[in-house]
Amino acid sequence: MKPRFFTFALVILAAICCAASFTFNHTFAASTLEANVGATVADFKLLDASGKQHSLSSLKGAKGTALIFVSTQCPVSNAYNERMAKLAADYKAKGITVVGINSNKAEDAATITKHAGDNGLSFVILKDAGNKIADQLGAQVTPEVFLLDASNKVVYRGRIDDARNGTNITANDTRDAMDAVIAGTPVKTAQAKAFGCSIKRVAE
Amino acid sequence: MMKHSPTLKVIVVIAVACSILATAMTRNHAQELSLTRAQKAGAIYELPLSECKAVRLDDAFRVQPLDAAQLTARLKQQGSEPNKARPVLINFWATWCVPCREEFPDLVSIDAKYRPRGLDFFTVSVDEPELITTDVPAFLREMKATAIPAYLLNAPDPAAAIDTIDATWTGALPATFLFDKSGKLVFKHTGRIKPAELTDAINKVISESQEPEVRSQEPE
Repeated sequence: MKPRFFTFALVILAAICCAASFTFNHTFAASTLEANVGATVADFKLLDASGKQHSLSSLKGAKGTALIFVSTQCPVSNAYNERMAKLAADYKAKGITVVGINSNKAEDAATITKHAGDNGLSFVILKDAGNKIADQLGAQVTPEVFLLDASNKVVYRGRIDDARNGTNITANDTRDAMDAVIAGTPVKTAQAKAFGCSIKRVAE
Repeated sequence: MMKHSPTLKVIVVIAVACSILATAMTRNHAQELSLTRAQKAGAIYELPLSECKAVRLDDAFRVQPLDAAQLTARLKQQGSEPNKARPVLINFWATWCVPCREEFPDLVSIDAKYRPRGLDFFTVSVDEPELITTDVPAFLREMKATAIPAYLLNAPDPAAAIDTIDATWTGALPATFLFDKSGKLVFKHTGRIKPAELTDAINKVISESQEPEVRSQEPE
């Protein structure tokens, strides 16, 4: 009787431990998310430059969302201002919302507002104070796109295109990925890197 | 034969269960990290290296071609020739990158201190190719950096060059990488360097690379 009780208790406790371990691991993974392709981005809330609060769920398009980490000072990000504005305009009616995120510690709301006005950036630009969302997604560089599908899963991460100066573009990686999302087909090039400015974080 | 009380048995069961829990957590955590690294180094980043070309600026600022495959070969060569191998420091920069320009005097100082001690340091500009005879050498002259081997990357697709150095690097500038004499990446930093942090890492690889020589000189 007693040996049976001992074995039974051991089995029950081991099962509890396995369940607890799975839960812990799942929680750990979620709390250290880096938004590599395939990861799902949890809903978040940030203020825009005018102080209005937005959430990912309130901004997302019917087909998806393109989160673009931007800077007012980075020459590479600035080289893409016109292309980012056109991207937002072209895909708004197609169901993908472009959202800018500024995580640079030295770029305040007033600077972001003025910069957006001066450069025709009509899409929402969120101020990521304390670079929390940059940390959550693992964003390191501007400009960098995280394209989410309708379920907020990252389907593309990387550059806007392969030509910083805007001439001789041979790979329109972000547009191609957005077109694939709209068409419901797999994104052929899911990640593409380019040189850009490092995001200046508060911890630095 | 000793008899154990039920309380003792319960304590033993709980202890065993906790051990199982701890082991499972550790293993799962390791798997998670491993998966993340694997994803970062994933096949989606693989691009033909032959597309990348770079051009060297030597001390006289004459242009010499060098592609990313040769860059990789140079790093591997460090490990294949142990008698000649030296730790390698690489800095990626651009004239348009403010923190790159700001950190350059520190890099020049580090080069002056550690090159005589066996550090192989070179810089790679990612500026537009046409600046190779103008802005890039002008800045290097201004920084008194002409003794440091300098290259200008001329890559139609920079992704291959980025991954040649480190698959987890997103392309953020400035970026500084330190490889030990076997070609293993031992230190990396994106954004403006912290000189103390970098020199600590260099001191470590320099001392490691000099250990065999020190031993051979010891009196028997």
